[in-house]
Amino acid sequence: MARRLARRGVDLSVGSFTIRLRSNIPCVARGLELLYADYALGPAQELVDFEIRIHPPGVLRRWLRPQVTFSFEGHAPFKPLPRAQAFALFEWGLNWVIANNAHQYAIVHAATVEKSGRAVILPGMPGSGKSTLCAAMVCRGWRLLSDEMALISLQDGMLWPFPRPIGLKNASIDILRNYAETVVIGETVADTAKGTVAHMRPPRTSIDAARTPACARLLAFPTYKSGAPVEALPLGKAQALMRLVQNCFNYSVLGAAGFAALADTVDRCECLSIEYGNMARAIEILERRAMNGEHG
Amino acid sequence: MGSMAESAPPLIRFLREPQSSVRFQRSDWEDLLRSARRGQLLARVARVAAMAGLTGKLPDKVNPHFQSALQIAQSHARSVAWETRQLRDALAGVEIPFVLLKGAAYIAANLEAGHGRLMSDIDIMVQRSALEPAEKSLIEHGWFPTKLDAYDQRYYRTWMHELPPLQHLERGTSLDVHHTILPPTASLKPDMEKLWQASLPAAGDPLVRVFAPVDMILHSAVHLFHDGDMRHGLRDLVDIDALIKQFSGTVGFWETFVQRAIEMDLTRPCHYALKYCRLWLATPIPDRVTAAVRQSGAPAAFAGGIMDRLLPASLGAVLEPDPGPRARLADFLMYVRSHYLRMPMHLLIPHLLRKRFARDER
Repeated sequence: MARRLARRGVDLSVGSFTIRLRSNIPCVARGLELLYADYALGPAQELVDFEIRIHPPGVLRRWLRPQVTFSFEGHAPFKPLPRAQAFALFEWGLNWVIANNAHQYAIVHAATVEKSGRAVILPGMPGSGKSTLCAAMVCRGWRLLSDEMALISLQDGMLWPFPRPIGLKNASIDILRNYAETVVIGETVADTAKGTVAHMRPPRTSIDAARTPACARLLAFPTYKSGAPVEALPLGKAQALMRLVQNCFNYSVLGAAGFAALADTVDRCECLSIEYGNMARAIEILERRAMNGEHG
Repeated sequence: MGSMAESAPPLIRFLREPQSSVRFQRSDWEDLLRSARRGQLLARVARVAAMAGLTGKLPDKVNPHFQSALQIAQSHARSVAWETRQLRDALAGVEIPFVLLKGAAYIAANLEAGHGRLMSDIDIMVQRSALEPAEKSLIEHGWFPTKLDAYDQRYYRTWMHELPPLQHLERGTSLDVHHTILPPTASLKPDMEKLWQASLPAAGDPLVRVFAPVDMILHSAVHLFHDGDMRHGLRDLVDIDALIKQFSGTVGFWETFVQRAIEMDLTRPCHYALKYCRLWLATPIPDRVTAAVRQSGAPAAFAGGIMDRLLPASLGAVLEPDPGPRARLADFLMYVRSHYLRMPMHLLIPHLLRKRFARDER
């Protein structure tokens, strides 16, 4: 694996995208082997959409301080990071590539999961607990669409899966590690811009269904508040739309088409904001609301 | 890359003959998508494909990339319209007309070259006498000079043909304000007054102007072959190709073009523009035109030989996934050349040394 990754690259098929990754950094190979174990790892059977490299920056820096750079189409959009963060850099970089190059979708910063054909969108600023909530829901049998971005098709308003390892931060890492026996978590990396991070392997069933879109039914804006009781408050459509717009990466690129796609999403969803201190209880409520439809 | 037959990279084959893409293999499409993205040309390619009636014939995996690129181009076009409106409001109060240059002009004038054209900043030109009041009014309306040290300030103002780049405080959009198309230190001296006189209202508004068709092509050629920024070289060549295809149908166009190139002392960059448009993009240009421009614009054999090696390497850099040392050297030499064309030696050498030194400091 490490050799193939360094030479011709590994072709990852994730949802509707095929990504070719090349890297000569050992922890990237280890991350792939552990966390992408259930994916088709090429050679690609169809067109490669994006080519990404994770590599040491210059010769000089290699000796001074081991670092890694992310590059896409011969262009490095981020500053180099310490070598230990190479796998996380790949995950972050891939998010950046999609957010900047897949405007066939309205792209919302949100975790998205699905059960029985009913998808839940959990938008959230960092710290809202959306990834933790999403990881826990996935452990409870929900299908992972994405822990980071809702891809809303401009053509039919369907949510397209982009299931990848779920990014966990700080305390969430141990919470999830102890959450279920099946949980597999990759290497923990301390002192990143987001604190301590690690990624959780998505379930095989989510990966196998990564070409099946889902219809959004519930739009819930989560806020984690330690020790607080769980409180779900209904959100007016207009307010929900405004908050969705704030979380949309490519709203200004899409213009009117983006407005239409987000308005349509809000229209077909029950909208609420949910403050929670207890995850199990929050999941129960979300599940009930999603399954009961419009006015559950 | 002398002749451009079947062996040319897929992006070039597509731009020369869009229909040739029906025979593309998967790897050709991958290569095209990658090169076009690097060259800021993906949206343009998507537009050309749509105009050539290829929309239904594209592979399923290619369609979304084109759709995505066109969304970006549309957002740039919206932004140009908005910024133009803001500029007009800022400059109308002091009654300063301005000419939109390059991409902004193609978009504002609704030219084919503007469809699928990506923008990084907006370039405008005001008359030299209006430069100071224009700057003052722009600052009052929120366009501030980007942070520059005293040396760079002086470099722009004294030697170059523009104000230091401005950036809008709230919107973050960049604006370059020029008063000529070549710096006063350059050896070529086109007469700006003539360009102003021939300029046209962009959309019925006498204050917002674009160059006349022939001058638009001349300016694009000057920009491409004198400005040293070859990162977008292929994109600029594609602009020129689209302008020529759109304008050359007018009776007498080529006669006017050749005459204007000579009159404006711009046959050298025109020679390169026509030569490479024809060679790379198969732009339809009559032999008598290339011959006439070559006669007064071709460089001496030795210089021409060097340029024939540098230009293709530099223009074609985006076609290679990993530009090798040859392409990088060519890029650097083109950069040096552009300065050499703009400044006399006693200004150029200290400038390049300073730039080199300053870059290492960072």
